[in-house]
Amino acid sequence: MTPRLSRRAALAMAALLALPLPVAAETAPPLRVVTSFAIDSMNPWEDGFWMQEFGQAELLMQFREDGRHHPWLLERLENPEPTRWVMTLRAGLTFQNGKPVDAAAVLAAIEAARAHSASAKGAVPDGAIFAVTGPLELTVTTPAAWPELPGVLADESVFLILDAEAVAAVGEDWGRLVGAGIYTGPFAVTALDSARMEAVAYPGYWQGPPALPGLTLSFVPDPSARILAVQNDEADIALYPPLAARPMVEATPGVHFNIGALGTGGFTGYMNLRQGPLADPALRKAVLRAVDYREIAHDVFRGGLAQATSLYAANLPFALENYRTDLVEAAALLDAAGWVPGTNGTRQKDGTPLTLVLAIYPQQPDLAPLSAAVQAQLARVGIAAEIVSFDGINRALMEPANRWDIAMVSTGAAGWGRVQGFLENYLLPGARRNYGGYDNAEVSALVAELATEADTARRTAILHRIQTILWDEDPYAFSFNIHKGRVVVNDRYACYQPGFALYHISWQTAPCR
Amino acid sequence: MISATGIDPTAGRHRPPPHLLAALVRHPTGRWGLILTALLLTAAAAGPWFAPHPPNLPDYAAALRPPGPGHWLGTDATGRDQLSRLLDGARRSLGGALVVSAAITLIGLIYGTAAALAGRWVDAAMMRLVDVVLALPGLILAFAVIGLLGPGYVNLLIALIAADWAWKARIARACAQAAVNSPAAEVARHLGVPEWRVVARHILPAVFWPLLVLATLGLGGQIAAISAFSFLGLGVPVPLAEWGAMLAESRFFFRIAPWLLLAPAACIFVSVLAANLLGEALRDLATPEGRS
Amino acid sequence: MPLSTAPEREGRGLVRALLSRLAQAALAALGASLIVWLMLPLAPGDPVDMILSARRIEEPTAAQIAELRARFGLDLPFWRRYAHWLAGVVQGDLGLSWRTGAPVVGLLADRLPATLRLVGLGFVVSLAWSLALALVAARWAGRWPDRLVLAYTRVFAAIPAFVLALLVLQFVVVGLGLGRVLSGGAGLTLALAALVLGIDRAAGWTQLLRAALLAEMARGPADVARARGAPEGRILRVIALPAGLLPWLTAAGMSLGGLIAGAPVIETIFTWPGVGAELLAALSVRDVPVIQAFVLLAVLGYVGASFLVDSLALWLDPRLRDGGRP
Repeated sequence: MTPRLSRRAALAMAALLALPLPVAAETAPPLRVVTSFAIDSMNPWEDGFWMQEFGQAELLMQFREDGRHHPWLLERLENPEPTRWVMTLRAGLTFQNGKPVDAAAVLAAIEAARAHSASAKGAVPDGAIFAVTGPLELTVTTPAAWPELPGVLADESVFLILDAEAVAAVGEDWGRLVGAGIYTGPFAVTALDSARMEAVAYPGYWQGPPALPGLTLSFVPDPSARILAVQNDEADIALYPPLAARPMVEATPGVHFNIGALGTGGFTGYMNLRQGPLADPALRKAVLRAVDYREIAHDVFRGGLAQATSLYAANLPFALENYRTDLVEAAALLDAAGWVPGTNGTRQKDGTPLTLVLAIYPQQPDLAPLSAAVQAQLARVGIAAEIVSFDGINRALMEPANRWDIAMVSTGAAGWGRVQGFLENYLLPGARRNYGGYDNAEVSALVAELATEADTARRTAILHRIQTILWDEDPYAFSFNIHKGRVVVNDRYACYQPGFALYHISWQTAPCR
Repeated sequence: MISATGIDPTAGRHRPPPHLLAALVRHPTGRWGLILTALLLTAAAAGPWFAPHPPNLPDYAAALRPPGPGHWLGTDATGRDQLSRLLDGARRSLGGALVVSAAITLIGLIYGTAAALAGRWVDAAMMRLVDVVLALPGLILAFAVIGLLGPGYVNLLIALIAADWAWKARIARACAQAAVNSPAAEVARHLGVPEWRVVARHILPAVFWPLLVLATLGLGGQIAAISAFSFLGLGVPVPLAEWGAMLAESRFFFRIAPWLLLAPAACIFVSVLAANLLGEALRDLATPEGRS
Repeated sequence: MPLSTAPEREGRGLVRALLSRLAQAALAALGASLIVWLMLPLAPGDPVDMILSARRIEEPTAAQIAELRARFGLDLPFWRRYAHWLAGVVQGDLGLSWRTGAPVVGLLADRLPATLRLVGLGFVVSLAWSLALALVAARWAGRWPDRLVLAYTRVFAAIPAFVLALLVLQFVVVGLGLGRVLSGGAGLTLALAALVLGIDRAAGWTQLLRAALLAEMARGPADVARARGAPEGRILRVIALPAGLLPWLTAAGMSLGGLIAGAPVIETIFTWPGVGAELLAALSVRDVPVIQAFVLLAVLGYVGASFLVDSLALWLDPRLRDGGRP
């Protein structure tokens, strides 16, 4: 107990030193947030990414609504030549424990992550060297160009900026990191157990004193209980409300269902080329044109999701706008492929009815209405569909014995603006998540080229070409929708907008005026 | 002793009364149990033909309609007809309970009779296993089985069977034991009737009837368990209708669409009530003093 | 009626019978744990895959897989893993959670008090409520209070606990503003949740006790008292209740397991910080060590309760000491 107390004392003292002015008397009570997922531990390598979402930890770069990466803890990020990046830190940054954040500290954090975090190991290309080249400057050199570096620096699961020395000191006893102030964000963790996390404002925060004195994050897996907690004034913000709850919330005084900006992913469809009728590209093209993207966004989910206009969210600079619903073209494609209308409304070929299996999974409740809607939409062009729910969807889809034709999986095709990981894991032959056995030589070559292509115009051209192939030539992966952030809030936080890229809490988060 | 079932295996005199159906109709509460059960089972069996709409087909224009013409029990958030879903779900809620009850009766019957017939150390070993399984409270065992097999409707039924068979096996063994040594069986053996006929004529019927009464008494519990596990998301997968799963879906709409809560809850309530009334009546008829 | 025996023989007999019951209880718990272990191979998939998916590790390295195998002892043969687990249990170590990698004991220690409060209070509520109802029913047997109690028990025996809990949460906690949704496992919500759990069980127990009381009221001792002119209420309290109470308590103790098993649903609905809610989280990712720990806990609770009611019965009724069970 003694070490923790002294650390807390040091934290408080450091806070006082960093901010000589007395903190303005706070009138707002601490923010109460309820979320679905528990933060299991203070282990920064496995559970640290949550800290970015709730205002404890920060990253070097930030991915914003405009679909671009902006410096966060960095002053600037420059790419003087394709194989060299120069990162310049902001001056005057401190960890919550008062220690300064300089180039050496950031390098220590990066190297610690590369040593301990699986996602950091996977994100950095072989031969990359990070080096301190000035008090606030780091230089990254790579054997080949590394165009994804800004996205990697903005990815919450890669390089959290933390006090690596303090982390190393606790060994595996992660509980000792509570109150240790290892991050740079506006709120420092003061308690964590299996039911809640508590954090208090860090007055020395580099952008200014946080607007709230602190926050409590309660872990409540049951979505209904989260909403009821807001309704009963036991919480201010409930995260991850199911869209199904929206009519009820909107009919209840004192609570609001707020829909936020466009996300970077959505429910993605993957078509099975290994077995079943979808081996025929004409049929796959017909399916793409039979799905009513507008109905999904506007009628099924009443605007709670965005309409898919391409594989990528429309706010990304490389997104094409090539999706359209065309039942006439779909029917023509089916006719040409030999699937002719049958007596009971289902098309058939040589007496075999055209029936597709839609694979969903129970962890995403919104897939139930979505799959039912897609089933009804496919029926309009004479394709019958049945819905099968797999527990452990990733394993189930890779298992050849399981029969499915279209898998519906919530995927980030461009999480934190990074495109490479999705393309490599989902579209290349033999890749870990290539559920349907997709193998298109041109796509594979384009993905390989993209990995080291630094020129923005050429990158956009490559991504446009991939989107075109996936719609017109050799369809496989497609978006049913693009997700939007959503929260349930009480009157005090009625103006709260869901954070973009899971950035829920900032130093400016405060009750509405 | 008082047992939760009122079945005393040592009595060895449990036979169905001669005119079971007539006796049930005469029984003051059994009558209602019989009528309700028959209605529910008919609805479950004929549900697909009665249902006015496809149970899983959404109609967004008709979402959250209150009960009225066209949708006699209203619609849910995606415009699916609740009456059709209740009828469709009845097959899973009630049918599943019937399957579970039939399976545990059969397993109990075979296991218990086999133990009683084998006698000696086989009997002792088989009953020791039953004792050990009985040390696991039934639903806990069901949780463990689902935890290992993973959620799913078939896994749920397996879990509920695993949770309840041992208890039936113990009763069956006691009944069979009594029947093996019953005067009627002794006489038959003495007359040179082959052993398999003795078993078929004298032992299995003596075991079957008490087990049937127990199974009926337990039916309500099985219906409630299937609904509860599905409510927790451990049973029927998402698009399919099941009463407990429908309750879980409707939790968001209590205030604005109370019919979505009340109708499945009423279905579960009436089914459990019907099974309990029928089971109690059968138990009354099974114990001699209850027949008067 | 206790038979009078020599006091010293009675004491020794009681101790021996208690020890024998204790040994039976321990054996039952051991056997139950073995059964859960024997079911493990039924689980589809390699345990390492299950651990990886439980921890949401998407792309494991060979080193990570080897490290997990070593840390969770998956390379050892089955019987050695069981022996290791058993040795751990004796020392109060239930292994590491597959999901979090944290000791399961710590998890249970965090969450057990809330569950014990819920189940304990629920048990007391259902005993008290069913005792009161059964006494009323037996006192006015065949008349309207009896009919009312009977109708009440029929109705509540047919309402599953989770439906009752949903109604209470919606209409009492949120509707009337009594208690809290995020209760933290205490306060007014504790009373409400225990009431739901207790009322659910009370229906069956009332029927049991009522039947026992009526049977006792029809037996010889009651008739004798009646012939001497004792009023019915007094016969019920002095003669029928003591005779009927013990078997009823035994039956109630035996069904304590059902009460424990009902906790996960109630805990989910009332957002209870108990082990039941933790079990559901473990079930969804198939966190086997946590599931095993919960089973062990439930078995110990059940076996312990059986042992207590057995001991109570032995103490009250020496006839049972020669190996019979009540």
